[in-house]
Amino acid sequence: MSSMMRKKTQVSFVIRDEEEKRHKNGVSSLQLDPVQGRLYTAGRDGIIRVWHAGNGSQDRYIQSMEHHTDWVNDIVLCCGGKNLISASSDTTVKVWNAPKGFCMSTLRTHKDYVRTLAYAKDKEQVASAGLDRAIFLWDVNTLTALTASNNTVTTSSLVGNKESIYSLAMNPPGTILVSGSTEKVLRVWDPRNCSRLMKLKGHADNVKALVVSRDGTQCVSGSSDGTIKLWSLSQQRCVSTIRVHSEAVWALLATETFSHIISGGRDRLVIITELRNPDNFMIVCEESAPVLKLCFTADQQGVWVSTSDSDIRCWKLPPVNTLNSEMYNQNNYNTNNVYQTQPLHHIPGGRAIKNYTVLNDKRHILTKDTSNNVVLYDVLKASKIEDLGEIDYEEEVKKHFKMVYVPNWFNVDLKTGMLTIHLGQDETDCFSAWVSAKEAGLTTENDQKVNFGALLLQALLEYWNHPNRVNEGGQKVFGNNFFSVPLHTPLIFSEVGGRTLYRLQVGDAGGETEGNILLETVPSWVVDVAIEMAAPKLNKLPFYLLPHSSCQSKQDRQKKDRLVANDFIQCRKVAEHVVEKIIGGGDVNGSGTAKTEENSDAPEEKVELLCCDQVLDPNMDLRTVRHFIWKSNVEFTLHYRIIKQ
Amino acid sequence: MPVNSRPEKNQGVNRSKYSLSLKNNAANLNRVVHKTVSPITNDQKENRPVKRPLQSTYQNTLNAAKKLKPLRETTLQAGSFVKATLEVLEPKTGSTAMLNGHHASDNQYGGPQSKTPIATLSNMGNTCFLNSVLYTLRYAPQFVHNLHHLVSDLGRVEQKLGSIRLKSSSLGRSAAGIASSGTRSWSSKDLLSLGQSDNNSAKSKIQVVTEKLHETYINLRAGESKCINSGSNDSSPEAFAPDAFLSALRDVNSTFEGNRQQDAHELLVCILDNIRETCRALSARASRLQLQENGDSNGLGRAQNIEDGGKTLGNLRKSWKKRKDVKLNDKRTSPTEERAPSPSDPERDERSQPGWDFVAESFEGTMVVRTMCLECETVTEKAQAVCELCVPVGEDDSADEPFRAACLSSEYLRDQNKYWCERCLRYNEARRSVAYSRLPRLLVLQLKRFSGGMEKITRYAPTPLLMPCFCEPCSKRPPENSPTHRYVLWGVIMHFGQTLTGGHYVAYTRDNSQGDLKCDRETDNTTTNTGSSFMRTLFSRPRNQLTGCTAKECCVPRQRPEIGWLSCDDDVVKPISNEEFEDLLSPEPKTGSGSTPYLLFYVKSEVG
Repeated sequence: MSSMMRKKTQVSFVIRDEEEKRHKNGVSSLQLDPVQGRLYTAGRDGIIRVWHAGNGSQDRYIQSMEHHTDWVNDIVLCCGGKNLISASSDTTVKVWNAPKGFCMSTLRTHKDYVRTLAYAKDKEQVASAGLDRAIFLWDVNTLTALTASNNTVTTSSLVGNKESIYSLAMNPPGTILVSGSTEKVLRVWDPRNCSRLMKLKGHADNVKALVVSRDGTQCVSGSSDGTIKLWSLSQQRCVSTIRVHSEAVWALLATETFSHIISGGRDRLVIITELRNPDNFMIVCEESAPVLKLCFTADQQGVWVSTSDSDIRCWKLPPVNTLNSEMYNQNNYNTNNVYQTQPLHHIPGGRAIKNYTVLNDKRHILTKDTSNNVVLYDVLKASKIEDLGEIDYEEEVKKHFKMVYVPNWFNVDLKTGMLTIHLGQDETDCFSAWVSAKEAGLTTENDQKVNFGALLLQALLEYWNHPNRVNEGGQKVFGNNFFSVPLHTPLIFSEVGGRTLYRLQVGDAGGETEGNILLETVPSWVVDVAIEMAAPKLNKLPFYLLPHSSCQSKQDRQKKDRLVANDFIQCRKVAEHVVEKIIGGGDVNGSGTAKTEENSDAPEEKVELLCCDQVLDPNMDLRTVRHFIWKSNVEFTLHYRIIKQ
Repeated sequence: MPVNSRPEKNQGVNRSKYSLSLKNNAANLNRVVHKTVSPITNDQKENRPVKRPLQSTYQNTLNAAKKLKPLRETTLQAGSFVKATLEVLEPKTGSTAMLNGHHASDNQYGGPQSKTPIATLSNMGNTCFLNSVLYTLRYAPQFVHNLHHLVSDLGRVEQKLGSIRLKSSSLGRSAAGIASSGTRSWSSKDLLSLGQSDNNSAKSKIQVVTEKLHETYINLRAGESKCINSGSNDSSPEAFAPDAFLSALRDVNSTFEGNRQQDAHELLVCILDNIRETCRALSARASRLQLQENGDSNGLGRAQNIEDGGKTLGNLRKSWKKRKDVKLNDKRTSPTEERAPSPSDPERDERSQPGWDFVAESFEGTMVVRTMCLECETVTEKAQAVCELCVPVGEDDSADEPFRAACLSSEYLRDQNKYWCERCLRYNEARRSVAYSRLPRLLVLQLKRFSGGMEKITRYAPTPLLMPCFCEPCSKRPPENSPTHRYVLWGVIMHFGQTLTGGHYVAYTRDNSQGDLKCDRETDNTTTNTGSSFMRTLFSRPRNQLTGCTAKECCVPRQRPEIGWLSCDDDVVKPISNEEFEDLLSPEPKTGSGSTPYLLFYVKSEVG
């Protein structure tokens, strides 16, 4: 395999509602627009959501910003709330029109998950960094001016990082940039000339949270080693180590004056600590899951907290002058001693799918989510069938067992908490599943065989106005003649195990721009089937056919007959073959009498088929027999026996 | 690659010595004959197991027992005839005689020049890889002693199984005559076939290798004894050719066929695996035996018992298998906690069990692999048994603890090699670290000098004589606390030359290691038998007639008065001073010969 070859492209889609008003997974980042009173939240379901942050709103949901195809790891709101920049594990950085919620441009310079962003407000500069060890500096005004024709952007990169970067921070004037990585050191740059300033050693593990003071002389870091460290950048040393958390520190927030630090992490606690006197601290609240991000309310009297659960809560902060009060200042703190037990505000999250089972028909999937809710999905139609509620998942899976075998033709992915289906990934052959259209409930005609993968691709690209999409009569053909998939279904083309190439909704494929991008993106194996309507090749299954030992037949019949048939052929067809080709040959005793009624009798009434001494249902197909009865991939052997009347 | 000149020279010398030593072994001819004869009878017996006159069965059983025991142990048997033969064979090998002889010579000549005879192994053509490992194991603390008990237990169990077959065959015949119950005769037949099938599997190739290894050590010991008894102290024992062991080994593992140089490490692994397998087989057989005996011992309810036995035997056999597997798993995770607590010292109880896997106890540590997802920071942990630790010969050797860093490794799973996190349900970066929750009594370190291609890495790697322990409990102790134990170097196998398939091996061992040996079986004698287990009664019966542990007079190398290092280079084994030895391990040895340490052997030593 040549490494220069373009990676194989896979087709993916998400089975979801048209509007997903709740986060379906953890929330990685928060940004508040104090002017508009809006809260932007970056979801691990790939969706950035916008909420009313003010008091009293019943329904806080405003809109979703959808374009990422993987976890959104960080967001910054810039240009006074006009633009939002987001970083995602789909390896892209996106620039958004924040009020309208649409994606303006996508930056593809990173080669791995983009994990963190930093923002210099005074200069409208944003830095992005991630697991590819690279840091890029972006001028926001240039980014927002990008158009389809003017689509080049220059970026400065800060080099020297040796390991994956998990945190970044800049001061508002943009004179200092600090990065934290698995290297366990802080690296400090001057973003104005991209020069390396220093390396600060002291942490014993990954550094996941950073803040820099406005003047760029101090920095606070939070690490997976469980400590928070205050650094003097002018003296290039650690001033103090704050040990208030019992586990990794993942989120930091400094007060305007850099006098207090609010921290959160794996121990689910949010703690406020006086930086110059770390003995003065207080547990603000205990969250339900590890804390991922903190952000102030508009009045700075409260803090919004996001966690690896989908709920977002706002908690009241204690007045800073109460920290040294006897009541809360105890060296051996415990979680009973928490300032707030009820949040000021609560934005309830949705449920993430955590388990799935592909049923035997390789079409339906049962899932269980974080609240043990069980749902049945139809992959072929990209839709939910039934919400079964909080029932016994294992029982339900058993209940849906059918003795039928269909080859795998798709892969399932739950990383976003929603069902993502991949076609054409790695070893799974998208076109391996041929089934009877009648049994699939698509038609009433008996003999038509359909291919699941082909049907689905045809439906997913139904609206694509491809120039070749014409039949012999010169008329345009659309879809697959059986069903359509929901128009809102996100359709994603990406490199297998790699970067996203293009994402659109099924219903938008008819647009001219979309059509042109699709022409460049859609791989030929998909075009052949979905547009040219080429039939995928059939799976051949070799087998041996022998007379059963109870059948008194001549010795020469004992030689093995090697036959090949389509894997979905029913046993009835094989019986037919036996009647016509073997018995019909006149070798068998009493064939004369049998011949007279030959046309009136169904073959299965004359001959029965056996596998491993088990009589087979004439409706069962060969691959099912091989899978459930023969249970081996070699020397698949069937026996036939003439039924005596 | 051309073979180093050293082994070639040795080959030449050895060829003549080889034939010589064969002749000289004529003194041992009696023994050899004994051994070659009995397997034949054994085979015959196996082929016609059931319908035989009582007398011949008895004879065969005796023969089988003789064959399977190291000869010295024949004294343990009741048969006076055998005892007599034995004493003719080795007239003056009583412990006192040996010690007296030794000390006498010491007094007479005095001084460090006096030669204590040390047995040597001849090179049979590129077999220095074999000799270096055999020497090392010979002086490995308690190894030969444990091997001795394994082989002698094997003999006892087999003898016992033989006698059971004897009993049940008579029972079967009488049952046919006396008892009218069909069930009864059937069950006795089953017992019969049980004993028989057991004997069929008895002579596995694996077991033969273990026995031949033990015999090799008996021969080495006997060679030394002969020298002492001959009175002339200057004579050194003739080099012994371990060809019987080698050919048994080749039967098990074909990689050792041919006359090529082999990897000493691979051989060590093979020998240890082989012994472990023997232990397992013995353990399985012993529990089978115990089961039968339990059924038998209950005199009154015998018929009932046998019937029960007959009904459940099929299941039981299955469950043995299961139990063996389970035990195996337990061993891997918690080697010391696996057995049900017994009233006495559980550790010792385990040690005196037949088939006690001493390889696991001596050589196996527990490696813990921990993987932490860098997003959710959830740690998953996997423990597995490890025998030898491979140490890369790295560029940066921190002088004080060169192996700690190499063994306690940590790596990131990232880029194209990300980790599937079960919690995040996606590929994330992760950190994977390796630590040891337990390190074995005998720690073997293999310096990875041959990794990546055939070219040997000759870079100097420091070999400390004393090494702090880096197991997790030790690592977690606060630095101000003194450690409870550490590791002391007792053996090194050096490699000369540039490739694995060429070159030459020399073993260096410290030979004072057997001195402090305290045998569990020995001490058992003083305590009264609690009678808790049948095994105790079975195996303490002969012990009561003896004082002390038989290993010391059989195969364990005799203790020399001088404590120090031995350089074991095929048929030349000589003591070297500590200074000479340390010079060999230094970055630029004065006696520089291009040798590099390849396998390092440490023994755990309690501190304070």
